[in-house]
Amino acid sequence: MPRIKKAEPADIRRSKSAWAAVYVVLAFLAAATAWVQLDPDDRIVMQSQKQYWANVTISATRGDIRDRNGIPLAVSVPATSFFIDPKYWDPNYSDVLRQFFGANIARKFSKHLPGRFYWVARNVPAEKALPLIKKKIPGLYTISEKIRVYPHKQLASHVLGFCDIDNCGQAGVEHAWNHILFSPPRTRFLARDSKGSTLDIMGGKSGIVKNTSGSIKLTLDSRIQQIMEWRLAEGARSAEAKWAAGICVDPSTGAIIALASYPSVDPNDRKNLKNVESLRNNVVGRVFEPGSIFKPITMAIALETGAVSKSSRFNCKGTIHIADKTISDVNRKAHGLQDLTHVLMNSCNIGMSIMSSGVPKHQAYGMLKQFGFGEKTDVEISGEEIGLIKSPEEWLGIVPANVFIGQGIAVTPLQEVMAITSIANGGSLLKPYIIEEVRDSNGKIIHKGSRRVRYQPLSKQTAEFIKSAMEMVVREGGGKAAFSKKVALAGKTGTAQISSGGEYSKGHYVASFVGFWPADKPRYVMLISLGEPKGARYYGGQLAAPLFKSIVEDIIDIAPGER
Amino acid sequence: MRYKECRHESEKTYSSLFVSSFLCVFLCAAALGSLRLYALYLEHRVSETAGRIEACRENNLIMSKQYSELLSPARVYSYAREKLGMVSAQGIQTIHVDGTVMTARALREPAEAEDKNILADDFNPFVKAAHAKN
Repeated sequence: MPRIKKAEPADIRRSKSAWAAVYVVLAFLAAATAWVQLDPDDRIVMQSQKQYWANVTISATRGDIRDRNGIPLAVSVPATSFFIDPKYWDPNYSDVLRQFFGANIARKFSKHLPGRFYWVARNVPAEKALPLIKKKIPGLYTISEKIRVYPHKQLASHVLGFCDIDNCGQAGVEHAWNHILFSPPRTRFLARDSKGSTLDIMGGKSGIVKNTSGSIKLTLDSRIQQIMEWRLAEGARSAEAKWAAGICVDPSTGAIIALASYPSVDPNDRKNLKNVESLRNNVVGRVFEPGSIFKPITMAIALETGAVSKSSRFNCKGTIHIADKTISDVNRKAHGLQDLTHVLMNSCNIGMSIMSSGVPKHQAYGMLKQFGFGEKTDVEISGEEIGLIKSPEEWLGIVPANVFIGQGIAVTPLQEVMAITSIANGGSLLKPYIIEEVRDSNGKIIHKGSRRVRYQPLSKQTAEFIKSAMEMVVREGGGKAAFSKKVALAGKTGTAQISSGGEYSKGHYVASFVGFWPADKPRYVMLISLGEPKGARYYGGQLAAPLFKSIVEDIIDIAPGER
Repeated sequence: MRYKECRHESEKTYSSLFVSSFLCVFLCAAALGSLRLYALYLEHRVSETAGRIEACRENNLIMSKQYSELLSPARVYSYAREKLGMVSAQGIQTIHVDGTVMTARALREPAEAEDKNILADDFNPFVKAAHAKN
């Protein structure tokens, strides 16, 4: 049977070429898809990663600060921060926010907002955050953070300082030792679900946030610190003082046992940080003219330079004219002929002024420097002031006499107490320290505070003489208000005038008392200063000395063996 | 004969090498698959443990805060005064005793009495230091 080849119609040929075209297009699309999938644009990759993956910052725990007995003074605890992604946020839920964060926050999120991220509240405590988290509001997300907490509130607030919202130290030890305490925040990759919530599906790959922060142990004794703060605040309030400072030091090592400043502040409440005056650490950050508490030091200088001897006598007539100025004693009272001990007991300005005339000014200036005045003590707290001493070229006319009675020179309470410490310990000026030890994140000790002698300004004999004179001040002299039956005290009162505009104005004083105990073998040296008290009583012997005594007796009550 | 031919055609023979290779590959794939599954399970456990460690750490931090609040001197003082009714000791005086007298007294006192005192002191930490100088 012959095969008859059927002729192909022309339209079939056309359809074949159409199919070929379809194949080409499909092949192109496949190639383009493969190209897009295998080598996508970087911007698209970033966009998709943002959509499906969240790079969440996890704040690490800041290192602890403890006192010498291991009591935590500053700790970090978990807290929750809330943020809103407007893409998923429904403004109708703003009423829920009102219940937790107030009307202002609710108003802010009651409308549609541009962008993808807004903080709602940071570092919310767990007990407050949990009910809100349970509500599972769409578009409202949380981040786990750490909040710095000071469990003892005001206690040692000026020493510890405070941190900002991102846990960076801003003042005190927190600031000075931020490089040890701060651990940088880490990131974790978390997947997002269709509602934008983060899911930890990465498992072990996301890792545990490793803490790299160290810890600090202070030399402070929180019990003595508490006593000092209570008494200082009580004394400052009753005297209506503008400011007050108190510091207690171990004279054998230079370790700071307590450091208090008034007004104090509770750093847990950030609203308190607006009051700049209460943030100032008066012990290291305030300079003042010390007044008569400076006399033991200048008397020691006079003895060391040989300008006077232990048997020297001075005749006090109540006033003395030097250059074109007059120096007088309290109520212009004439003390008559008196030895060095009585000059100190009577806090005699005339005796000290006469004494100053025999001391070469360059030598006196050099010795003041050796006592640590006019330079930083390098204590490990930020915000330390240098103080002010006039150069010897400026010691003209009444200036040397003024310096010898503690006027015309500006010191910090810390400088003053360290100078008295050198008398208490037999003549060594020590570097004060407040950091007992620093440990790294592995618990290894990387720094240890220890006794460090800066200068040796005094001989042991001179120191012993001044010590006994200071003991007499408390027993029979102007510091009788500090006399205690519980322990033998030695000290010196001081009432300094405050200069304003180059003139000393009446009614502006600093009442101080500096001393140590037990007088024979000092274990503590302490300074109490009350700045600008109001009222009729403003003398150091009236205000600061009783305060000093009450603090000493309280300390003895908690540690009777240390008498 | 025809039957034989058919049998020959349907029962295609495979070399033993091919079969063993196939089995090896299959077993390897199965082993790798199960290893991957086990790795995923371990990862999940690591994640869970990491979560638990973090939770414990956070708990530890909270307890550390509570502990320090309990040790707060302000709290201890107010508790002692208000709840226990404790007051500051009155009439405490320092008495300086001559060293020779102390030595003589120490020689007189029997060793048992000293042991007894030490035992009593251990029970009362607040008077431990007080006895040292008095």
